[in-house]
Amino acid sequence: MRYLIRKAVILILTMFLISLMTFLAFHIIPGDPAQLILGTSASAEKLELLRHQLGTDLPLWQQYTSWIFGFFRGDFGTSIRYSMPVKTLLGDRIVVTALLGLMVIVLTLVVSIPLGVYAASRRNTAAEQVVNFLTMIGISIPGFFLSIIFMWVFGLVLHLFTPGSYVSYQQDFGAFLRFMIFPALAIAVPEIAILTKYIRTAMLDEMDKDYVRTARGKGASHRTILYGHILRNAIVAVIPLIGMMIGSIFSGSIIVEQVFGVPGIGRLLISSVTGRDFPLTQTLVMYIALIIVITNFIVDILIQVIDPRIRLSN
Amino acid sequence: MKSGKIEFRIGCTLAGIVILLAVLSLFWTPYGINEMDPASRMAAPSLQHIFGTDNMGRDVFSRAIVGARFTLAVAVSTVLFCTLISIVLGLLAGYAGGWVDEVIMRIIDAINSFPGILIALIMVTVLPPGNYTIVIALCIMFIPSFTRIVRTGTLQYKNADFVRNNRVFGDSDLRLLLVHIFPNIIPLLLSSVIVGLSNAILAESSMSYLGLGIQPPAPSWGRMLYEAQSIIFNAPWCALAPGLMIVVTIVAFNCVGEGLRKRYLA
Amino acid sequence: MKKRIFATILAAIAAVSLAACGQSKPASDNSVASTANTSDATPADGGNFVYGLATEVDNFDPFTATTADAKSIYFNIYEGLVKVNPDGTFSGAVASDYKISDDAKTYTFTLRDGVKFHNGAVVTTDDVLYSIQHAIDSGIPGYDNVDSFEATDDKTIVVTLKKGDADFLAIASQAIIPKDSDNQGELALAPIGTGPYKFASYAVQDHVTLDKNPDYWGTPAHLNEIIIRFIASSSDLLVNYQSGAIDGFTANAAISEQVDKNSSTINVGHSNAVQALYLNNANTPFDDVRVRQALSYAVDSEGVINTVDYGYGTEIGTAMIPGLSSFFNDDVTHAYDVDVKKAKHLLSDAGYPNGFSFTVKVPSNYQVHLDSAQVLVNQLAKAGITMDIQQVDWATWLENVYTNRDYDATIISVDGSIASPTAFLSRYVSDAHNNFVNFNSKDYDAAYAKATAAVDQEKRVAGFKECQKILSDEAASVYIQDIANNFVYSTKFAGYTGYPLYAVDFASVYRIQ
Repeated sequence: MRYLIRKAVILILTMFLISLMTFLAFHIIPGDPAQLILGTSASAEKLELLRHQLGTDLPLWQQYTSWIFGFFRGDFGTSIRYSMPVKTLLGDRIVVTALLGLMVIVLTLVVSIPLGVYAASRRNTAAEQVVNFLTMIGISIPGFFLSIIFMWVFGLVLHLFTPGSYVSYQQDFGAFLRFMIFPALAIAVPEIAILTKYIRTAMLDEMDKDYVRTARGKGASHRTILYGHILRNAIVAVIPLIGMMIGSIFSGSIIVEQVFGVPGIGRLLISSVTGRDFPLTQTLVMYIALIIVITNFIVDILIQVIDPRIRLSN
Repeated sequence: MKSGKIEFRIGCTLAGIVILLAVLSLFWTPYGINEMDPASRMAAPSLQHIFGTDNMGRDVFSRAIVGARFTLAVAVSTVLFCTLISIVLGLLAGYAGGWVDEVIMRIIDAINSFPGILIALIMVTVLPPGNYTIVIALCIMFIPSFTRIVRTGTLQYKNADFVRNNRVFGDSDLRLLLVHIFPNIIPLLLSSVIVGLSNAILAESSMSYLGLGIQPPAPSWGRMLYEAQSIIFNAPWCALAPGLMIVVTIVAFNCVGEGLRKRYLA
Repeated sequence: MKKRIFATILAAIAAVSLAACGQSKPASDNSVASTANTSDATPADGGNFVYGLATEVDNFDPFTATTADAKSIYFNIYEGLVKVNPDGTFSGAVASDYKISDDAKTYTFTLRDGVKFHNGAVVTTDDVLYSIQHAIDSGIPGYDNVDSFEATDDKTIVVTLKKGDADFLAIASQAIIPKDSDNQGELALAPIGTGPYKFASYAVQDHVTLDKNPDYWGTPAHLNEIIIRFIASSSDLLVNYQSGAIDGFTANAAISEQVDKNSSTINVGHSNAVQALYLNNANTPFDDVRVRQALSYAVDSEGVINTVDYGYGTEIGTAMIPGLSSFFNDDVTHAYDVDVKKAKHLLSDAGYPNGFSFTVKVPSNYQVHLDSAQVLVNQLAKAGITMDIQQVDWATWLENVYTNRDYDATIISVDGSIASPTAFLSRYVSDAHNNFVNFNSKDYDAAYAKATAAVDQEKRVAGFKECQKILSDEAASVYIQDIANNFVYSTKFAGYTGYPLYAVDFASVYRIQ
């Protein structure tokens, strides 16, 4: 219990630090949202008026405190750029990005578990080498390059989908899925490669352990040992990876949403930074950080529930 | 281990080729990197231009090998600086423990959960322009993971029997850290450094892709890819050349790192 | 792996959206080059047209949205008392008729009968009076000159100006909106106008849909629905067009020249902005006129146009767009034809016999300016001048370069807020708030004051031409070109008509049967 409380305090502290850092960062970098909205032909009076309306003419501490008090009341403010409540803006986007993330996770698990098991069970064969080679390539391709290649090959050459013709999930869920499969794949490839590699390694580690030899000695079938014992333990060993994966899926979705024209959280984050839309950026940063931090929190607990042998101390 | 050896050799060969091309570009390139010729723009790969030309008629091969040089220089200096700083921070956090550890780790946590876009933007706008700006920006992004590795290693050896024994014999903290603990962390750190190189290459090309990296007309792979993106259908070689260079280089360093890890840690 | 995460986040900004900026503007004029044969086509009413826009329009309030792309879209939704014609002249819109007094101080507008807003209400003088007051309150350029305005009967509006302004018709094309409809900026997300298209729906960062206005007072639009898709960056425009996701877009020649010309019609137009290597006249060495002239001689504008813009672009030689043809001073276009020898000579006179080096700050979201900068690096090198490029993000550019004038040189296209010479020339007055090049010339200030004071059209033209001559003589900056901005669309459609200012007139486009 003390462990939980300590973790929770650290979590809150980290979040506070992040909000402060985002705020300061935003005011160190140049850029005036009013000027961005009005462009180069704006008059000085008009700029002054808009700054006043946006509240960007207030002292820094006042801007921060009003934001943070609002945040605790569940009021995330109004987007400077889109002149609508941040909450409204986020609503739909979160669903889009969550669906994208879910597709990535499903793709990753469906491909990498069998692949990892296969590679481990064919230890020291050509097949293992091929899988190793593929995972190595998968880990090494930058997301932006992969996205461009997907657009070119699947979109323009093979016509498997139409780049730029995103369909809202509310409008036509089938068409949404058909379009999203390619962005999802672009994010999933490195994740698949990493997970496959870890599962393979974890399984190889398990195979050398005493209990496997014992089970084998008792005459258990190869299949029972592989799936009944080794895989289960290997998956436990891979759980700590999940926290990192959620983070990397999030950041992967930022670029992929941009390239494929998917209106999700990631694309919103970029336009909020380039538009110096502070309330929106701050909320997005907090939101993304919160998900990553909480996921790690849950993973920590999960590990202990599954495997109480791991010491709580550190 | 056998597989580790193969990977190590493949990695060294590929990395060697890339490094060789980068060195070659110091003395000779088939064309000037900013030599334009509108008459032969977007020409397909041929004997004159083995990787073709871009939309302003510049030779893609010349730009790609000079790009290798810039990218490698940035990656190596990033990893070098970052490793030095991380060793200090990691040893300190791991060995001192207590509030020192707490402060260092909390800051590192926060940097870790902070969008890299903002870090990069701040660094690039606050610091005066120059190629070392990007090195500093990348350094800040890399320090958390390196520091963690050093800290974990330090914790592991801090209470090891041989360290305790030496403490009993009256060795100073500094001596314990540098002579007894640190050398044991080196193998762990070495493979991370190599993998860090490939991560730095990835990060540098991403920064350049955003226009935050090396300034044109100096070529960088990320920027070349960005510029080629719109003409991917009409002139795919413009994107494939820098893209594949990035992949090959990252694969090469990953292989070397993997090979080292297997040799020392398996 | 964490490092990978950062790398990806960074990469994400990739197509750093042009969103934030308001410079790339669809507009075109005279030179129409149709590459596909559409003459035997028959127009068909109905259907929809998907237009790709590389920036993101997030505000449709004509009093606060002043970026060129926002204007190009709400051109279809809103109308003023008068409306611009494709040839740059004005004719009545919400007003059926107008009269200008000889001293250009009094403008009398007569309301057109039965013009209806998209909400069904008939336009009254109250709506017009509200709109004029709203324009004054919102600080729309040109309205500060309004002295008084009133409705003399239920059809007539009289506007009196403080001083005569022959350009007031351009200013009077500002949108007419229903009374009290925009007190809190409500129009931003729910525009109501009188134009041929009405606002139907908007999805943030995705698209905006316009429906045909069946009650339009003039020639109704052909297409039933216009979908404007917001594309993350201009580099994605081409891919989206080639994939068939969009039917048309506007872009510079480096992109428009890549399309398949058998299935596309390209409508060549101007960006109506002045692209230049802008020099900070207050900083050494650019405070020396000889250095600025040397740079002008070293730069080969035609080379830039040929290399970067596939030959599409118009040399200017001064801070005026050729689109304002009567005011454009073409005598100075070739005042500084490339002459490296002369450049070197001027440099040594100025005390730089071995050349010098400087940094140019270029906004990283404009590939066309980055490409131009790279061409200039080569050209300037021939005269012994080293130019280092520094890319900056758009928001940073606006604050550091434009507002704080903390720079030596920059490359950008400067547009005008209205189709008037003052929009381009006023910024060179010594104490103008937007004089970001810090140009300082007493002669210019006097010439500009004289030109704007003139009411007689001939004197006005002569005055503004004199201003341009001074800018050229003083080499205020190195003027390069008015970049071509081409409207590209599928041959399934035809009819597009360009305008000499930011406008994409969807009402002119029709589907071919």
